[in-house]
Amino acid sequence: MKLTWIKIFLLGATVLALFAHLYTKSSSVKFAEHDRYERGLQRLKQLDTSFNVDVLKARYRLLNNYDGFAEQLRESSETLGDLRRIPVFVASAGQARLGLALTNFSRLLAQKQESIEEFKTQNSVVRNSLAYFPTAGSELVRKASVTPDGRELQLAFDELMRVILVYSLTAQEELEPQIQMSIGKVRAWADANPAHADADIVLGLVAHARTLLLRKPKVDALTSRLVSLPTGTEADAMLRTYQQEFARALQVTQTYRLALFLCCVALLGGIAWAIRALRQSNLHLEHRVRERTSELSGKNTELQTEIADRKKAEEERQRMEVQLRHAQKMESIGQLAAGIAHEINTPTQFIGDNTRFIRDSFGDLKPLLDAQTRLLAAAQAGPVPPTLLAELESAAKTADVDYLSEEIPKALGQSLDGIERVTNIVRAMKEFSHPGTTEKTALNLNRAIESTLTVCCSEWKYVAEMVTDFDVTLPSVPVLPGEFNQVVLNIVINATHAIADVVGDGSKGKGAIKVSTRRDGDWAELRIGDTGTGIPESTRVKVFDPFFTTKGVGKGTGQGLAIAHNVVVEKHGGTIHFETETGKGTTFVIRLPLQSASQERKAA
Amino acid sequence: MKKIITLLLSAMLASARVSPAWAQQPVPVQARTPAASAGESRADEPIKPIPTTLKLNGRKVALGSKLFHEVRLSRDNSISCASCHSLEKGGTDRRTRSVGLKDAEGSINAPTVFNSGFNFKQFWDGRAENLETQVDGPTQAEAEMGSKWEDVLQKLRADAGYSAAFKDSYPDGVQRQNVKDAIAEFERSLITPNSRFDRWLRGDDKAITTEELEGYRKFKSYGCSSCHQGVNVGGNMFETLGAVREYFAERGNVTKADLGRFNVTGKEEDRHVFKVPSLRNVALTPPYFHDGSAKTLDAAVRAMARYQLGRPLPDADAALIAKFLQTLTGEYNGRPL
Repeated sequence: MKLTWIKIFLLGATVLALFAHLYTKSSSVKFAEHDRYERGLQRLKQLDTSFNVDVLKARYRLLNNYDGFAEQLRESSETLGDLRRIPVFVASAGQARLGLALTNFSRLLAQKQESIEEFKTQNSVVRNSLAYFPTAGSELVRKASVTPDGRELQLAFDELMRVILVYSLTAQEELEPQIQMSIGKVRAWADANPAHADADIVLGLVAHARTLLLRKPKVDALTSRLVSLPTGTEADAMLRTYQQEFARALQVTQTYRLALFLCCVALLGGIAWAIRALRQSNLHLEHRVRERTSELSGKNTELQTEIADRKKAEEERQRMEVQLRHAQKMESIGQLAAGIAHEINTPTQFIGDNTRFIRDSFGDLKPLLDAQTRLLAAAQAGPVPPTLLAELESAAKTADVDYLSEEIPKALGQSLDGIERVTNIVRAMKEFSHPGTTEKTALNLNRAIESTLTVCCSEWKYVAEMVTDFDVTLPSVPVLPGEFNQVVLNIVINATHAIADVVGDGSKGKGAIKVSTRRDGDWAELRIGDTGTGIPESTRVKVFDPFFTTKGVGKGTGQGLAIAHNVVVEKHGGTIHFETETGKGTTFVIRLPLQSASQERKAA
Repeated sequence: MKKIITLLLSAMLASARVSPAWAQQPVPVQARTPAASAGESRADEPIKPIPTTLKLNGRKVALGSKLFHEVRLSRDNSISCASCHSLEKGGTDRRTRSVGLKDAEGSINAPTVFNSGFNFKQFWDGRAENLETQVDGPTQAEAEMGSKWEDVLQKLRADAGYSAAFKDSYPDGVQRQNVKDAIAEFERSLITPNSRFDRWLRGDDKAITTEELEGYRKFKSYGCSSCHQGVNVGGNMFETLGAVREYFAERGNVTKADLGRFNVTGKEEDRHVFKVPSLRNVALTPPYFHDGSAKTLDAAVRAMARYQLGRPLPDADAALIAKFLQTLTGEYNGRPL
């Protein structure tokens, strides 16, 4: 499982890396950069063109200030500096080519700068001379033509002017010797006429002619050099090179884009596949869920049936329990019935016998009483006939008065005893079979126990001595009287049986049952100990289990102690445990709270 | 030649589509001057007005200003940048040659610091490509401020105020390149817009007088504007001093400083070549030229006509041109210089 996650993670990372790489490569052409660079190259070309235009304009006196040259050169060199930052998407070979071209261009630019400075210097002078020469020359020729001695000067100067004019407009270097010759002629005139009014101007014009001759070829050479410096073609070449490089970079980018696109398509396909698989598995899942749901609902029904069954079983069990408890009660009552019947029967019997004896005795006494009555009557009437006395004496003898007067009170006393015994038993029975209440009643435990012991007296009295040790200060304890009596009865009967197992029918001496009560703080403690067999170790844990019994079939239901546990622990919130030693006996200890939980709650 | 003409034609066609860099410069619009009057388009003038505002770092400018006036930049704590480039004297010291440590006289005339940010290179010989590099020159030159960077940095670091101010603008605190950067930033802020001529360029016809306008026309027609053009009326090219007539041969006593750009490149054609100086605020910055040889504006104009233009200049025209040059005086921080 772990390995799968790692695999998924690695796969994801690889895919991401691939996409990142492809994306970076496909977006490597930065159009802002391209724009900057292409514009720079175009600007360079533009500046070069306008520079050349300005050179020509300046040469032909169409440009009257030189500020533009410096500006254009400054901007060119700035642009060149900017162009040295070649966009990174240009491949290294292209970078090298462009770098070389830029170096070459800046060299050309330096040459251009050098030439333009000289051009300005020379051009300004040539320009002034050319401007001055025709006007001053024409004036001189005009003045010379009106003076008689000016003919020679006019001719010489006319020629010089004409040649200079042609020379100024063309680049015909072959005119130079002609100009030199004309200058020589003018100069000769000036030398011949040093005092002439215009001699100074003539010499000035000669100087200008010489200046033109010296400087004009330079200007022309500089002009053609400036214009033919291959900056323009170089700029074009750079632009072309760059555009090729850009196209190549773009193509590379396109390739990467295509790759990216394909990868995207693949990824989308994968996602689609995954979605389809997911949907299918979803369908499968839904199907499974439906299956499971139906399964579950089946199970649910089953469960509900089961729950109902359980409930029914529980009810059944409870009913059975009730029945069993009832049966147990019946059982104990049944068991007791014989004993109780005997207990009642014995006094009833001797009460009957005594009563019959008294009735018979009275029959014996009747003649005596009659004789006495007659004697009394005779005595009252006169003297007492001796016959009557004899009759009385005989009657007295017959009746055996001495015996009767001794036996009758005895019989009466015996009968009264018997009646009391029956009354006691009936009362105990009445108390034992206290009508089952669901409400706890404050009960004098000592008295209740005594009643129970009385009720089952016939059970134990042949096998055991009953020793009671009641704590008279024990307060009333809230209990369910019927249930409590049942518990005591069950334990005492068990004790009796345990002792009986040891002592047999009691002819060889009895065991003992010791019942004691005491108060232990908030608890009432009841101990019922016997000198019976004790509980064997193997069965100790099962003592309180329902249906567990060691008694023979028909003798016990196995419910007694289970009921006792249920009553003490669950119904009264008390505890029940036993202390036992095999062969020595068992003592059950029942502890009941002096205050029921509900009372406690009220008290709180 | 045919090729060049073809190129020219195509270039002119192209220029309609591709505007050159200078044309893309934002033309500063000034609220208080009316738009260019109809009739005359001044966008085609060789001189361009100074922008009224620049985007600069205010904190660096403030720090640079402090450093610009800081005497501790010199070895004996006696002079600062402002000693030779006084903002009260048109950004110069108005001396023929500047005076450095212990009254040592320098070899060259101090050019104005105003509008130096518009110059294409720095120094008369253009040996510094920018203002930052320029700072190294005077501070380290023995005859000028005579300092060593280690000493300057030590002195500045000892000052809690500087340490804090540097930390505000530069994470690495007082460093050589930061000192230079701050000073350069301050120098870039030293612009003098709103000269009367700039106002005229922006369309205010009444900003200059008829005479001054006439002077400007002469300035152009004589060819001054062949070199003195652009925003800074110069400062964007090199030119030989004595382009048409030998200046140094006539002046004599040639010094090393007179070799100009030759000292930088060693090329023969750069002998006596100098950066064409700006004519902004030129009325305030006498004496003129690298050698301070022209004491007045008039003298400078005449010398230029003689040696650079190689043509006679009538007094009236020279005066007109000088008058025009006075209109190039601008404002610094909203106040006339």
